[in-house]
Amino acid sequence: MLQVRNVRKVYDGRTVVNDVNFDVGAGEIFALLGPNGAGKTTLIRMITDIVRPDGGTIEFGGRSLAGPQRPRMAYLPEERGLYKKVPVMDALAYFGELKGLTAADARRESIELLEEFGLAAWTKKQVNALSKGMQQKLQLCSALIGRPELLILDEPFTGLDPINVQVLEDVLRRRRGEGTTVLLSTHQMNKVEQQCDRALMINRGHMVLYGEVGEIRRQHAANEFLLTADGTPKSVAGMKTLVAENGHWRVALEKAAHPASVLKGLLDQGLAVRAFVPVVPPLEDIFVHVVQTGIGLDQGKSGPPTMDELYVPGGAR
Amino acid sequence: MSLNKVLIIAKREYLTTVRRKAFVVTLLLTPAIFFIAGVVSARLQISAAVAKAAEGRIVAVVDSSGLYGHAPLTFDYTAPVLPTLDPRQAKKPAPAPKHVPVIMRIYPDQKVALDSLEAGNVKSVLIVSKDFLGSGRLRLYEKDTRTFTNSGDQRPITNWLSRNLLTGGTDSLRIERTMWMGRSLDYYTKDREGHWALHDDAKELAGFLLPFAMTFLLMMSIITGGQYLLQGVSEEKESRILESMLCSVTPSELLAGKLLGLGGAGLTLVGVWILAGAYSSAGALSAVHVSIPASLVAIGFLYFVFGYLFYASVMMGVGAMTSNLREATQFSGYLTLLNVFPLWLMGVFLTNPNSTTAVVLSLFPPSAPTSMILRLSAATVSGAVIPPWQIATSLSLLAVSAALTLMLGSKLFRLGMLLYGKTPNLPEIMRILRQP
Repeated sequence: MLQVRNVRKVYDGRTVVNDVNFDVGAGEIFALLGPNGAGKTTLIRMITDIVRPDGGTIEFGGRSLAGPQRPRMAYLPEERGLYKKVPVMDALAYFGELKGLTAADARRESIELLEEFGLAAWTKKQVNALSKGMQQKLQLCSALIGRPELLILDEPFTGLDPINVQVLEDVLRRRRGEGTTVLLSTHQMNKVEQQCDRALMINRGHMVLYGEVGEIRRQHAANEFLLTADGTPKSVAGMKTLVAENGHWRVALEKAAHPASVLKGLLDQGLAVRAFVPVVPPLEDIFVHVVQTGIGLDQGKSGPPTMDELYVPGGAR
Repeated sequence: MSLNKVLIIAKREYLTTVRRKAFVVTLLLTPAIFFIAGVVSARLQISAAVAKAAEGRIVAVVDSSGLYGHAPLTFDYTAPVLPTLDPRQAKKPAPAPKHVPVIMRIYPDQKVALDSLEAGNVKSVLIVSKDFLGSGRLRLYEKDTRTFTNSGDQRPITNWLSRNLLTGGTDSLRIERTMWMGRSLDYYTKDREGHWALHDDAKELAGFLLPFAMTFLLMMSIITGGQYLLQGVSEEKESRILESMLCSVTPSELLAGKLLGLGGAGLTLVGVWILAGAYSSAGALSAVHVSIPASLVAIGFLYFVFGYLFYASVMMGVGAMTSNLREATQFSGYLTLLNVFPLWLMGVFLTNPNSTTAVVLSLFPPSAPTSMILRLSAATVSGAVIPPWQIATSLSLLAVSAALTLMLGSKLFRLGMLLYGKTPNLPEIMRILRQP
């Protein structure tokens, strides 16, 4: 649905977004990742048509995001706020009306959302009477009202307690089921692993990672396995190291070694193997590694790095 | 641009503003302050002066000239009834003349007289010099501590001096005519049609008040609308709500809605004042035959529209470029002075609405709305004619300036609102303006 093609933005001769390409499908939760100052906010502002790109195109379902045919879109920025001295219902219904709902529909949908987020009892209270967490939920409601086709959320989990994090996750899953395209920008990598189908990571305006979240993690896996067994294993051919770790054994294989032959060697020892699973690095480690090593920032090169560039012997740590 | 969204924004801005306590307080307090300052304080001063003048007097007289040796030492002074400046009072029966008892007490020398004044036995000491007939020199001593004024009405003393100087030298009728010379002088000037007409003090007063009121109201409506916009933009920037909103509305829609809603709030404020003022002063204006021409109202409305757009755009730019309301208010204060400035030169406008200063200020866009309305209102009362080309040129220059500031203000609004917690310097502002 969302198609970003060769998008570029230059400020004062400094390229802050450089030739970025990606697609996000309908009903997909897509992560936009990157360190602070990577160009994420500029990229989002170009998608929301607040800032015009210096090159490239951005479309949603074949429609330009800048014209009158722009899709129903909502953006919850990281730096966000609300009108403070108005009742909760009025604050929310106003957003609904601006998104094209009639006054009656805006109020009806506001009630539904406030109930969904446990704010129904606060409908008539002034916004500034709400706690910080409640205001955070109200801001989420203001983004969700009007059933946006494209929902852009920047750090939506910040300030929410675990229960409300779960509420938001449920809402996002439901919206995904209804076909909403969700673009999620966050530094909470565990949320990306749990919620997102695919991810794009940019660093200094360049695309440095792009693909399915699971695939990215698998591609970053070093040739390491976690062995759970009854008894003490001995080193076998193809095994580089064998280290005991919290009741398991971390087994590092030589580069040319095949996991099946190493497993066979372990079984041949008469070891009762209960599990032999590859170690997949968390996304956070991959993020840190990519940023610290500057992978994908080659001059004159566009697009994400190849797997060879990303592969790091010994893991991403 | 979606008109529906513009109206939704305008409605919200309008209702939020007029429901604010500050709006209601301004609505009621401003006329109340003017009422207290203008009417109550004037009445208090007049009452004090009248009471003082009506007090009986004991005057110590040291007559070195010997001219007043045979003058009567007690008399009742009757002040003439003055024509009222308030036409509503003219139809009422004239109040009964007040008699002030006066006692003149002859003292042998100045020292004794002044001691008596110090002791509170007399209210004044009148010294008639030895060569009074030749020099006309008189001295009056009073224990009065008020700034700028003496104790008020000295006519009982001057009357006594004049009357008794003439007594015996001429007949009583001539003395009376001499005493009240000027009181029965009818002053004729040419009216608007060029005919000689009795000069009307009440009309002259209206000639001062009408231009002031018209200009003040126009100025207030422009400033109020602009200040609301400044406040709204600053609050929106501080609350960081804009970025979420720009997904649903375009900056132009947001801007148009704000201009419409907050301009409406400014007009409401001034409209209520006008209605209240018109209701309370209708009798006075009709009695002095001063009416506000429809053309003046129409031109005033055009000046409001363009003047408001001009100042509102400037305020919008200031609000978007500054990091908080306090900083924005400081900047906007200086800009507002340009709008208020013509009122400081009101004397120039009233004396000659077609003077070079008045013409230049009415063509200069920032001061054009107040200056031109001041000129037109003054002309309505005085009968002067403001050349139509000057009105057309002034309005055109203001309209072009308003369009230009609106364009620049919109751009600063669109891009400056996202510069959180930062006030850009001039080169940065220029860079923002150069962006597409």
